[in-house]
Formats: sequence, C-alpha cells, structure tokens
Amino acid sequence: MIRAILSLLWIPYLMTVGLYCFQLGYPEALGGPYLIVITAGIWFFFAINIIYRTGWKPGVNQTLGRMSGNVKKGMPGLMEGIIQPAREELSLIHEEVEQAQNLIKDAILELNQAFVEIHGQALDQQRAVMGLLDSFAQEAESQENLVEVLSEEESKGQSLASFVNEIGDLLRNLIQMLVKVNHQGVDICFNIDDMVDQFDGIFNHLVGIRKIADKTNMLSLNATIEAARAGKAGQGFAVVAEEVRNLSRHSLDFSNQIESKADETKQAIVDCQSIVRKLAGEDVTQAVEARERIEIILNDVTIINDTVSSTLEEVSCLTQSLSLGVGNAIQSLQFEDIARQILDKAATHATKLDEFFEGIRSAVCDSDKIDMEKIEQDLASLKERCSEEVHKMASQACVNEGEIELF
Amino acid sequence: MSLSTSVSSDQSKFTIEISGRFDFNLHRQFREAYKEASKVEGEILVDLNGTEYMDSSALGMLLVLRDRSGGDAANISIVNCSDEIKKIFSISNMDQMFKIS
Repeated sequence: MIRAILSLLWIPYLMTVGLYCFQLGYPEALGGPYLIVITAGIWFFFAINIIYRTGWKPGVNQTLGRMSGNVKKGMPGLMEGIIQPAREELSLIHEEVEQAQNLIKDAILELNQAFVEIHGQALDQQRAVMGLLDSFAQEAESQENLVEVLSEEESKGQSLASFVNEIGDLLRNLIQMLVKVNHQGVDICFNIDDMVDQFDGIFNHLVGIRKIADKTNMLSLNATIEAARAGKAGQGFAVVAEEVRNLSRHSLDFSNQIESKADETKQAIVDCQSIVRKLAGEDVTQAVEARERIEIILNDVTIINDTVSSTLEEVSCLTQSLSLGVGNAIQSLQFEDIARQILDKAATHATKLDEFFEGIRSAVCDSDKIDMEKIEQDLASLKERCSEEVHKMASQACVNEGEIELF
Repeated sequence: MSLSTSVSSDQSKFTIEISGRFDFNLHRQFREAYKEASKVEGEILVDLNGTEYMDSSALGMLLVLRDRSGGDAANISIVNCSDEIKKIFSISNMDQMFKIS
C-alpha cells in the first residue's frame, strides 16, 4: 500500500518538474539551484523505491510496538482464538492419557489374573502327567518282576500287560496239561492194545478147548459104537461113553459162553480205546495259534506302553517350559508400571504446555500492552525445560528397558 | 500216512520214519515200532522229514516212546522237523525232553 502510494507520487512530481521547465525555458530551468532540487527529488524517490524492494524492515518489536496501538484491539481475540482450541486439545490429551492409563491398568490386571490361572493349570497338568509317568514306571517294574511274583496273589490283575502275560502263562500251562493228558491217553491206548492181544490169546485157547471137546465127542461116539458091538457085556461101557459125550457137549457150551463173554469184553475195551483216542487225538494247531497270538498282543502292549510313556515324558517337558514361559510373561507384565510412569510424564508435559499457553494468553489479553519480554522469557524457559526433559527421558528410557529384561 | 523202521548195520541206531499225517491212526504201527526199538540198545532216531501234520496224540506217542525207552535216560532224537512242528514242540515244552533238529 505504502509502496503503491510512493510509486504513484513521483508521477505528479515529474509532471510538476516538466511544467516548471516548460514555463521557465529549457536552459534556465536546468541551470543553477533548480537542477539540484530536481535531481535530489529524483534520487529521493529512487532511494525509497529501492528500500522497499530489498525488503528491509524495521525490528519486529519496534514495528509491533509502533503498531500495537493499532493492532492491540484485534490481538486478544486472535490469541484467544489460537490458544483456546489448543488448551481444549491439551485437556483432551490429559483425559485420553488418563483413559489409556486406566485401560492399561485394567488389561494388565486381567492378563495377570489369566496368566496366574494358566500357571496354576500348567502346574496341575504337570502333576497329573508326573503321576501317570510314575504309574507307568511302576508298571514297567511289575512287568520285570512278573515271572517271580506270578504266583503271588497281589500281582494279579495289576495291569493290562501283566494280565496278557498271565493269560499267556495260563495257556502254556493248559497246553502242557493237554500234552500230559495225551501222553497218558496214548499210554492207556497202548495198554488196551496189549489187553486186546491178550484176548486174542484167550480166543486161540478157546479154539483149542473146542477142538478137544470135538475130539472127546468123537471118542465117546466111537466108544458107544464099540459098546454096542460088544453086546450085553458092553452095556455098562455104553453108559460111560454117553456120559463122556455129555461132558464134551458141556465143555463146548462153556467154551462158547466164555468166547461170547470175552468177545463182549473185547468190544467194550475197544470202545473205551476209541474214547481215549478222541481225547488224545485233539488238534494242537489251535492252541499253538492262540499262544502265538497272545505273544503278539503282549509285544503290542509293551510297544504301546513304551510309546505312551515317552509321549508323557515329552508332555511333561512341554508343560514345564509352558509353566516357565507363563512365569516370565507374568514378570514381563510389570511393564505396566513403566508405561504408567511414561504416561504420567506425558500428562505433566501437557500441563506445562497448558501453563505456557495461559501465560501467553494473560500476557496478550489481560494487560493493556503486549509484554513481549515476558513472552520471550516464557518461551526461553519452556525451551530449556523441554530440552532437559528430553535428555532425561532418553536416559531413563534406556534404564527402564534394561529393567524390563532384568525383572 | 505211513511208518517205516530201520536198524543201522551196527545195531546202534534205530530209525522210525513217519510220512504224511502223524496222528492216532498210526498208533498200532507205532506200538510195533517201539517194541522193536526196545530190543535195540543205542540211539532212537525219529525222522519227521515227510510229516505234514501232527496232532496231540503224536506228542503222546513220542512221550510213551520216551517212557518205554528209559524215561529221562532215553536217547531219542527227532530230526528233519518243519518250522510248524518245531513250534509245536517248543510250545509244549517237549524241546526240553527230546533232541530236536
């Protein structure tokens, strides 16, 4: 504005100089004191023009001081307009910091509780696994002692493995009993064979007896014929011959009876042999197969036991490390303390900024004149404090980080 | 199913060979064989090379053979056993009473 007025001023000046020269005539006008006046005027405008173009300005303070009279009326409103929202923002920051502190506190509390519970549960789990491991170890021990203690009542029915083992042993005993029965059965059969042979001997003897009876019969018949030829003298002899014939007939009857009885007995013995034969002639393959299957099952049970045992040991290790990890996590949760301190500091900084704004506001609005020195002082002290705080905070942060790891 | 016996020339070894099924049906022949065997002093050899099947009465017959040949003092070898038959001898604990191969 000033520049525009100044740049327009020299046009009427040149017009006045031109008009003056025109009135006085050229030589006179450019001679003597007039020339000096005209040249000085031109130089004056030229200088002012240069001054404004190079941007040279008087001191801000002086300008403000000079202008304060004019600007003073607008400043308080302007400053109020700047500072008020800034302070509102600051109070919001305050609230939010507080909110964050509360949130962190609550969350940490819950997390802590949860971790403590997990820790307890991990310990319980570990105890359970250890119990299982112990029982497995006992079982393995009992398996080793099984052979020795099988006869003892208390070892019976202790575990699956010992159960299967016991069945195996029972089966073995059963097989041996079966073999013993077969042994004796075959022995009986061979004895029966001997008896049958004896009976065959008896039958041979009976045949001899029958031959004798036949011959006796023939003899008595011949005697009867000879007695008849002798006539009356042979009558007594005929009676004897008849008696002998009767005896031979009786002998034959007895012999037949003995043969039939012996035959029945022989048949009964042969029947008995066939029964023993059925008893002795069992198929052993099934028993052998059963015994093999029991052995396979026993092997499987042992393998399963080993696998379960080793898996349980792994689980136990995992549970231990889980417990350790949870413990570490609980300790790490103490960062909440540090976070709270940092947030406290942030709140303090916000308070200081608020105070500074209040200072500016009072400097600008409450007195008649803007106290530039006070503002400058406030600014300087704020700057100083800020740099101090930054330095302090940087060193503290390092220490605190170290502390977190040391917990 | 058959059973045959032979005696070594020096009378020191009596061999019983069994082929096919070794079961109760052989008992009469077996009885004759061990009666003959008891006449020979020395080792008794039971050759099961051709034996396809063996039931429990076969075990009984072998045990009777052992009894009649002197019990614990008997010198009986069972040779040419198949794996199945060896298993049967092992499970019935008869491998401790006979020399099995």
